[in-house]
Amino acid sequence: MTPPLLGPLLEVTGLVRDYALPRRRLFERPGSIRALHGVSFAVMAGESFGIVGESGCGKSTLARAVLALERPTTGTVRLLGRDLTALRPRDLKAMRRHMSMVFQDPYGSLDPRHRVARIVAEPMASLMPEVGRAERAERVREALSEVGLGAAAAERYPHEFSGGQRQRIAIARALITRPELVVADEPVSALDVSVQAQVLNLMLDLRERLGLSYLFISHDLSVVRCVTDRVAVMYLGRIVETGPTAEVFARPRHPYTQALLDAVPRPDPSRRGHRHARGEPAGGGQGGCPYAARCPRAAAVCAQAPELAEKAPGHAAACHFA
Amino acid sequence: MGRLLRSPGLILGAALTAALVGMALLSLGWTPYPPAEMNIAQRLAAPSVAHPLGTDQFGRDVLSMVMGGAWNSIVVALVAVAIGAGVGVPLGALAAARRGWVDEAVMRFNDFAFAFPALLSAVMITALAGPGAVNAIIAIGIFNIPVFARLTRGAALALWQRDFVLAARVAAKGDAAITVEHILPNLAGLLIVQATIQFALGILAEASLSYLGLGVQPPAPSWGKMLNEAQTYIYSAPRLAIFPGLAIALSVLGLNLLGDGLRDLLDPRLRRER
Amino acid sequence: MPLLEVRELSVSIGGVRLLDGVSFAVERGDSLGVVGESGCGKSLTALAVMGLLPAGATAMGSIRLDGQELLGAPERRWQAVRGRRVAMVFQEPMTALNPVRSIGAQVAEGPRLHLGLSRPDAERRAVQALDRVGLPTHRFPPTLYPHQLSGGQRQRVVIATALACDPDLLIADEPTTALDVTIQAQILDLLADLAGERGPGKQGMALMMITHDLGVVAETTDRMLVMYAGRVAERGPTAEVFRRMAHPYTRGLLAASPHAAAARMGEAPPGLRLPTIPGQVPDPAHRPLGCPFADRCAFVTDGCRAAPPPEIAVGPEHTAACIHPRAEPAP
Repeated sequence: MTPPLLGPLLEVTGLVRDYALPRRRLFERPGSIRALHGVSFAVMAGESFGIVGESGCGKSTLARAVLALERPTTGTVRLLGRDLTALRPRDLKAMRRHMSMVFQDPYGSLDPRHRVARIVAEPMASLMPEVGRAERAERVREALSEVGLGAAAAERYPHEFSGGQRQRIAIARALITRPELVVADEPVSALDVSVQAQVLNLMLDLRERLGLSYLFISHDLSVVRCVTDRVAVMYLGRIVETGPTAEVFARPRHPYTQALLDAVPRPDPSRRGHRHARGEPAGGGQGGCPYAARCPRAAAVCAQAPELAEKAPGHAAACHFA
Repeated sequence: MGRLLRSPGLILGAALTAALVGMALLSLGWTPYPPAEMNIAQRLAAPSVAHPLGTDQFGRDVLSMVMGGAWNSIVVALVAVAIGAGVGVPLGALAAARRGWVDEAVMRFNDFAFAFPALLSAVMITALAGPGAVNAIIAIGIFNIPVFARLTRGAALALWQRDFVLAARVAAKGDAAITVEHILPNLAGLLIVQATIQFALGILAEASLSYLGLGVQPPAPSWGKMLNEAQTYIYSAPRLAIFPGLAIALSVLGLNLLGDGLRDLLDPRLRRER
Repeated sequence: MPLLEVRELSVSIGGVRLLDGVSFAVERGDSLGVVGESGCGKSLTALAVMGLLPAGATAMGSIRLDGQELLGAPERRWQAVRGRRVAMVFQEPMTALNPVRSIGAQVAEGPRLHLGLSRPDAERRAVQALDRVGLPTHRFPPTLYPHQLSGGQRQRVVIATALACDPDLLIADEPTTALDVTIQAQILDLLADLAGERGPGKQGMALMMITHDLGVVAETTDRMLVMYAGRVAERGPTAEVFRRMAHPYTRGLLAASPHAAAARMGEAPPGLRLPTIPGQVPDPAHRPLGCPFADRCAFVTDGCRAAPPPEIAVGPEHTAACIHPRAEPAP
């Protein structure tokens, strides 16, 4: 077991990720596009941390960097105090048992050719080879029961299950090595509403029972509101607002957060006739606030990029007017 | 299973292929007459009860030769497909897994191989290396390699993007293990279909080589050689050309139908499994 | 006479009855929301109205457009209707547009085909349609290709294509599900505006909005249907249905929706479990004899399983297919 933690479970500092663009001419140096502009945040043990944003905000890139699937251009990712970006492959592999991932697509995240038992056991077989077959099978049974599936599920194939059940299998797989951190990338977006509720409740139960931490990535603010303690709102590769979820949703300070919250369709017929903000994410101009092009409050001062600064206890926003 | 019975093409293809294989296997143990046995007294006999397909200019029983030729065709085509898949699939899988310069190298090798007209090159190789079954197999096999390599690489590239592969990478599974445990099993259907098609092409190629005298050597029977020898009697005894020709055509047809039927059977089912 | 009148529509595929006696009407200029989860038959209903049911599907009942019966009509009559009087917008803007044709050409195709316009006239119409959906020509020349546009912009092009022939009814099947939240909101605004537009001599286009999202229905429709297991569970004016949700399924759906849960939370920290509807949607091949929701309903009685419940009036123009509709105000 790992020693008790002094400090955050996950600490991301100054994460920058550039992607090379294809060359336009043969001897030209390829340009690059910056997907993450120095992202920093921390997740404490047992905390559920949400990352909210729309397409192009960099949340998938962030997930891959946190899981050390890609090396960042600069910046560090510390898990349990150890810098994943600086580890040798063997040490990195040893660290992987402390984190896992749940994917968005319940149909694509399980190999259709493998039985459920094999799918759920895969991380353990790969990361904890010292565990014998018998114990592994027992752990698989345990994990399946923890997500509400019977032992009989182990011998079946993914196509025999519904979307919600497959997502449970994916969660069982994510729990098998008893990780401290689970990265959930849109885990319920592809599910029906009533099934969403079941899976979200399961995730809340598991957090309580097993002391897990979540990095919960979603574009759906309502879902994030229901399951996260703190949240970071991302726009074009930067965190523009962060703080306790209830606080950020009740008193959003950044204009983008306000636009996002306003845009969520609410089951309230009195909002019929309400119109929303316009504009689309555009490649931010050089320097300056990336949201200025769409912002109703944009002014001359916005030509200077605002820093992410604390505006209220624990609640920070990157806006000159927040 | 019900879908299987609803596809006439698949049933016909399977039946023809089964007939081909059955005939070939049977010929190992028994043929009405030894295929190479000559009986000049009975030369050019018309089909009868004693000789259901007649005899050729040397008195050899045509039916026995067709059966023996079936075995020959199958062996050559099968081993050639095995060579093609055995080398091509790993190459393609490697290219898809490694990307970068390995991928480039494999693709350029493929382009190079495809630049050569397969059959003519096979002819050239066997002519230079010396005629015979083994060289024919190698020559045909070589040109199966780029086919399997390209197919495997293309399909594998798409599979590498799937979430279940990403999940395996999150679990620190190595590229080799992922290829073997996740990529290849999901390609199996595609590869089987391609193998049936290449098998059919292999039979055609073998027949062409034997026709030119470059395939299996006498006295072993082969359909291509039968066609060659039937040329001089094309007007007086066209059946000497028709029977081996029909054997080739029906085998190729059967295999193609089987391949198409399998593709229809396997693909939608794979999709429905989602 | 209603613009579209669907009566007792039943659709079976492979012997399995997927839609079971669905009836509804859409008036000119109406906006009707059809809400339900996967497998409830809402998309199939839209396809039936467009005459686009998959091969092997058998349909019974009646679909009348302006009094003219369409179900069972020859393909020619469908072609006169499809695209011209009834247009459809699908979920995936990526696949709805042809990647090798310019957006102007695609939008102009309808007018050329259905209205018989000459090429310059059709092109002018295309430019008008693109303008109406918020893609003005000076920024979005009609020579652009779909890949040069974002997802939201592509969906606008799809809507322009649907509008180009001035249809009487626009069916939108989950038009915003694949889009980002802020873009979603803009597209929904656009659809709501277009539906309400009144021109000289016209009463505005009718909109049939198919979605799984109760929030979308609340914000964009005047009347709504809730579908479950191939049947209509509840119907009525949107505001009425939300005020008093009579069918237990509608209640369950709202309660389970993260939107509603988030709204209820106020400033409480997370941890409150969402209410769920126990069980699963029944397999269409094995639907129970009585009320399809009986096995999952918290208020089930013996009478529920005996026969499919009739639609009972619970308010002005508001009915629910339940023998004991709920009366307490919605949560």
